[in-house]
Amino acid sequence: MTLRSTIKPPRLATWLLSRVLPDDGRAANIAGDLLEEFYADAAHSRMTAAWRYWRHTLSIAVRYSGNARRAARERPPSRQRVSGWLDVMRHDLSYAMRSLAKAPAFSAVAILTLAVGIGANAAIFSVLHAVVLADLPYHRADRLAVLWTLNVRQNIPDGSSYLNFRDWKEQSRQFENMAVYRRPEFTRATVTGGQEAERIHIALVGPGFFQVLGAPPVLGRTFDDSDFRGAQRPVVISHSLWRQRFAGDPAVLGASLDVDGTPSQVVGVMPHGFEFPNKDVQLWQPISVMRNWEALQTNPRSRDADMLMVVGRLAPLATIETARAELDMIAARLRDDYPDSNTGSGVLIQRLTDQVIGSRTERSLWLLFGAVAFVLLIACANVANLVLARGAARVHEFSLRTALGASRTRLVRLVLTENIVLAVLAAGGGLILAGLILEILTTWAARALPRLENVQLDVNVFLFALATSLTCGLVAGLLPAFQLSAMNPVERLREGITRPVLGWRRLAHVRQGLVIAELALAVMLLAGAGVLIRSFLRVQAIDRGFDSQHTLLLQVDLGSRYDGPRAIEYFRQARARIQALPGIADAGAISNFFISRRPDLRISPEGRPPDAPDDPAPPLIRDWVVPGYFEAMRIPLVAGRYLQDGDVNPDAPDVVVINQEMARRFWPGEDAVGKRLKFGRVPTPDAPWATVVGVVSDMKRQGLEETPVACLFEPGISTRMDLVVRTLGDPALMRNAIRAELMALDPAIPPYGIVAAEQRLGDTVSLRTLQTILLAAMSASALILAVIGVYGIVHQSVAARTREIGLRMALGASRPEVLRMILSSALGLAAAGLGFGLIGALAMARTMSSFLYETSAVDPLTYMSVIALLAGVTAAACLVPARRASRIDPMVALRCD
Amino acid sequence: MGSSAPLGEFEQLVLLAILRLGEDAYGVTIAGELERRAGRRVSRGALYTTLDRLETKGLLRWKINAGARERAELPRRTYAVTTRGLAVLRASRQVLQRMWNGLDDLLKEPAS
Repeated sequence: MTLRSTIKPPRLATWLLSRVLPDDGRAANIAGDLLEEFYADAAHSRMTAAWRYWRHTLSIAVRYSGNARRAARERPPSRQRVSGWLDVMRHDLSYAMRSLAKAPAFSAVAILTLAVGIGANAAIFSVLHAVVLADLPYHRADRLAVLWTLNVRQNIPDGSSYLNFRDWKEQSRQFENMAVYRRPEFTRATVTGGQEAERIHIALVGPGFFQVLGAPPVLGRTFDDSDFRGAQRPVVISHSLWRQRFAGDPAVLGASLDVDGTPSQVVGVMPHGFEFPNKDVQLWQPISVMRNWEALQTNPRSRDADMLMVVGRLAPLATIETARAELDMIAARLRDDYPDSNTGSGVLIQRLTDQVIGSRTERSLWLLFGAVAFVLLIACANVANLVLARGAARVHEFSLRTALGASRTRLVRLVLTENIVLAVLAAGGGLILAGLILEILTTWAARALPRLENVQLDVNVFLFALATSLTCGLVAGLLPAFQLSAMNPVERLREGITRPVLGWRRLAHVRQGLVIAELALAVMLLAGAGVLIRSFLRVQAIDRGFDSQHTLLLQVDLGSRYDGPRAIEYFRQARARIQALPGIADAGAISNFFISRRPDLRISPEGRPPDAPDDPAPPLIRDWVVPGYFEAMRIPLVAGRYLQDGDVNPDAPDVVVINQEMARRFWPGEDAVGKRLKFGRVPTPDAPWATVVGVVSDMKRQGLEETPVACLFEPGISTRMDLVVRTLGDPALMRNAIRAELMALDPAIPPYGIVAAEQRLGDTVSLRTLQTILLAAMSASALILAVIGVYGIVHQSVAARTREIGLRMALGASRPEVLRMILSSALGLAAAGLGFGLIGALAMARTMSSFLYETSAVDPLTYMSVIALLAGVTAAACLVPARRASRIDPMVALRCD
Repeated sequence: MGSSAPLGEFEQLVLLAILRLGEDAYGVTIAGELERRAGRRVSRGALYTTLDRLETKGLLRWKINAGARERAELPRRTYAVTTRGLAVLRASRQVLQRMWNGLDDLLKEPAS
């Protein structure tokens, strides 16, 4: 049962099947048979099942469309002759088919080349469409915006307080409506009811939340005002939770669900794809379940709270710019009215689409789309070249046709029809290829791209592939079509001329131009991929500042179960239990390993006047650390000592460990160990002194490409901690054992968010990895296509110049001379392609540089490698035809005509 | 049989497979039987067009069965050989046997 709900046969194949089968009951029978076999196969291997389904579908398509053609032929002539025009078209089509079938090598190469180009384009287009172009699943999603409280001095966006939100909402005319929700990183809940307990992401949402988003439920209702007052606990659940926990039962409304031990009632189900604030959220609760909700709304001292996020819908005539201007004014007013809490606070407004997709993702995808368009252009040029070469060989055939009365338009149409048939076949192949690429991409790139689960080969992609392929067919076919039709048949037949109309020389020029263009495009792609690869290698080589291998991270939230000393005891025991497991090297804990937010914190070192409150303060991070953390992470000690168990004791002197960045910033050129400092949001004179006892190296823990931030580590704990465990082997193998130990310590505190540090850091560069690999793959296929083009043209020119070469050799030219002649003409092409390509690459350098990490977009080493690669590959491609030219026997060559 | 054209080899195999399967003869099982016994890969296009053709010739009939869950409730056609189909099969076996007569020594399996 589960298998069938998750696996579907290839959509395109099913569609094809429904098109070709007769509409009389046989279709349902055959479709059923294939489906049955598909599921039986899928139980063993999904790949085999899909492959066999395709094979069966294609064989059926071939047989049944053949039958339909035969049936059409057998129909009485009166019905057959619907109109003369249709007849001619059918004739053209069948002619094109026959003529392509007569040249199988040409057809196969042309179809394959185009299919590669179209397939790659369709795949990238469908990703671009699903991730960037398709609307978010909210009503007029382009009118939605997210509002942050901006820490103006540090330029850091942060959450907002209810009171500030209320003033924004009341005073704003540019926003039609606004609603709050709790910052999602703090909201998880354990759900029970019916099945086993499960820790899921939930969202606490304020009044009007669903109305602002304009997202109606698929079942039941969303929250109304009474839900925020009553003692009832209504919840709205996600589509996936509905499917998982309630098997998609429509009777779910009114069902009971325990959320963190409180019985709640399901009142609504959201549609598939509704994933706000993020895609992990499975359940929505009224924000009034927060214990301090009343206080947040009324207590004037809660104005500097930062736990809420705000989403707003722009008023009909407002734009994001007018909204920004208006909220700036409102924020200025609030700064004046509430200097205690609002000094230094502004508002940051971001389009919802920008927040969900991310501008970097969007630019990356457009870059890839541009690159893949280059590949298609190269494929087109290659096919045009093939068609031209073939046209030269068909001069006699066309002369004969013209002489027998075929009009010029008819001939143009014949050639164009041939190309269109080619293109349509290529589009079919391309779609199959795109399906395969997407199959790989969606599993492999899921961590790099948002909304990837929406990717599918839908009508848009189908139309896109068809349109591109037809354009390619026309572009690649127009020139040869006119060339063939513009000739004087009588003369040609009489003289037996087999020269093309343009003449060898001009035809050769056109074809050389195409090859140069191909090479130039390939060079641009290679240069782009080259600098990306270099930058990728730099990122991989970044010193993380700790040993990220064999490190497992687990989050624990003690909530209100433990207070100060008992919480310290909990971590002491947790550490002891984990360390007692076999395969564990060390364990420690830190309050927030992956820096998710930056507190507004200032320090004032001893002997220096404190910062003025308005001075811009560079970011500073404070973490609580349980001793053992530095050792577990293998963070090198630069000076002084690590934190020790005794430092946690309440009566121990206040000590801190800082990182190098902080030492550099506050005590440049001095030894920071032993220095004293005070810290706090605004350090007061009566705050206690803390002594720096150690300096550790900088860690890249917020992401590999981020610059290091000054950090201050204090011994102690917060309610939510990240346990870090160093394992001897693969950390993933230890997760269950560690989880079991912690559950044994306290079953009410299940660890969550368990992840290997290396994987999590890899996630921060997954977009870069994806972009690099895809661009490298594209430039490789571009290079191959371009080299095929070079090979083709050299091969052809050797064939055409057999006589000339024979003559030269008869007159005394040596073999090396002939070899050099052919090679130099090919390398001339390569040089021209390289020249134009490098100019193009330089023109693109600015676009590229925004994607690079500490790498120049005109990196000399990369460019040299591209030049060497292209020269080498081109030479290799012409070696075979050039050697053949040098082996020409002059006698044989001269005797043949 | 009279007017009907002689059976092709694949047609014969399909009819025999249906007879072997009895009540349970439908697309999937027929293909499976042919693959198992005759040891050949069966193109589904060939199979279904052959079934159609045999039906037009009057050698086969089918009835509709309700679809099961494992085929998404799509109906299932089970096939049976008509009396005329049986007659044609018998005739073609007789032809083959007549042609085989006297060739047994020549064509017997080599003893290995």
